[in-house]
Amino acid sequence: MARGSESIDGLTAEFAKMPGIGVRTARRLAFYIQSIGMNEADKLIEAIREVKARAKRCSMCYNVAEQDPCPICSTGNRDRSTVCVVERVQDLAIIESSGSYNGLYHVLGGHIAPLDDVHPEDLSIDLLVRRVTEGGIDEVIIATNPDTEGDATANYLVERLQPLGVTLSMLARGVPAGGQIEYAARGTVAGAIAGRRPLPAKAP
Amino acid sequence: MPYEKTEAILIRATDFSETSRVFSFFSRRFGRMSTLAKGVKRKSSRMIGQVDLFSCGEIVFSSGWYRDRMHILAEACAFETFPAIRDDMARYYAACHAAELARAMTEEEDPAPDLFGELRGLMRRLQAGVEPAVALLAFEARLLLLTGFLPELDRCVVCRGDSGRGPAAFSPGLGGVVCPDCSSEGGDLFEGVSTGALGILARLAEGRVTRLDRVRIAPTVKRQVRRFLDRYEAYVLGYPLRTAKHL
Ligand SMILES: [Zn+2]
Ligand SMILES: [Zn+2]
Repeated sequence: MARGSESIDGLTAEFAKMPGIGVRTARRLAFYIQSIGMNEADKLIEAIREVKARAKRCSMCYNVAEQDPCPICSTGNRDRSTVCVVERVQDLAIIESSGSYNGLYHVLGGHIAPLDDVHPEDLSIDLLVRRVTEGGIDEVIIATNPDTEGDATANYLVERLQPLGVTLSMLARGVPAGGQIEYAARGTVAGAIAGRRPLPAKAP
Repeated sequence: MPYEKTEAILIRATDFSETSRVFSFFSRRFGRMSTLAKGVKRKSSRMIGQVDLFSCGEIVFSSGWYRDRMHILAEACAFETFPAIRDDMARYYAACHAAELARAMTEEEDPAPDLFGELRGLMRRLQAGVEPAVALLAFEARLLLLTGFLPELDRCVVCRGDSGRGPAAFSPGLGGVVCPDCSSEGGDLFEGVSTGALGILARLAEGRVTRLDRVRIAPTVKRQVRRFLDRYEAYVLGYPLRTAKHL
């Protein structure tokens, strides 16, 4: 095979890091970029800069937004006594689009996955604990994914939050075990929230 | 394309595309191996709920290669799950550490049926409530033995104890303990490794301790064995393991 250009290889490698992009697609995108005019390329570069400069983590819930606090945290007509804990912003978006929940959120930024070098301190768990400690929150709904990592993370959250005297509940398992919230149908998410069950208080 | 079937434990799962994931298994017949599970993230996938980290089951995969490094997973059927592992951080970290070690210390598709048995045995013990630290130490001792990395633990690796003096330090380079007379030949040494800690490791490696739930190791000794293994494993692999962080 003829050697490609080094700059095309470099751009291919960058695209291939993105979720859902395989090497072949990455290479196609790199050649596409090479083919477009400088004007088009500048627009793309500017759009990336814009996102990096403006989209920030909400200091209350860790959601990604252009304002801090994010629109969900700063709006007046939501139930501020309930917080739904999700792994990623995508999960928040799914629950929001289901229209079945009117409380606040907390985005962890992932799940505890030692095999991927993600430990409790790498997630926004301390921020959540501080939020609950500060008061005003009656119920925390744990909506991590129903797989090994999600369940392990949920259990860790229970250990940290239970001593704070807040009601903890888990989503009803409408989402298939081993599945991910992101891929659940809208009806399923609404059902899982409506059918959530409070966790019994652990014996001290 | 011909298909192969084996019993396997899922030891790593990573996203591959919008709908597919790469599952790394430790299998009875082929050792560690990677498979591409096409469409597994679709809601309609038959594999949803069948393949989850640390679950054990039967997998069927095409024997050909995909992108020179993995097979295509055709079917997966979990018949043994270990839900207690996710209920407790110590158990979870122990299972993760075992999975990372089994992956790091073996070659791709190098059959290791005994190690598969040890890995499944660890998951079963964690599920049954054996103390995670003890279950993990036992697994690691067996893994080191089965992969040929178990060091000489009870007599000087240079003079074989002929000097008449007990072990003084551990030499990772020579692969065992060295006595005071021979310690100058050992290169960089692990200082402060207790003989008690190494003795426990040697006993666990024999694999004859059948009732691990009855094994009691003093907390200080347990910490010493843990610290020794973390250092030794990092030495053998050339890098520290990610999962060692919260053991
Ligand atoms: Zn917010
Ligand atoms: Zn000697």
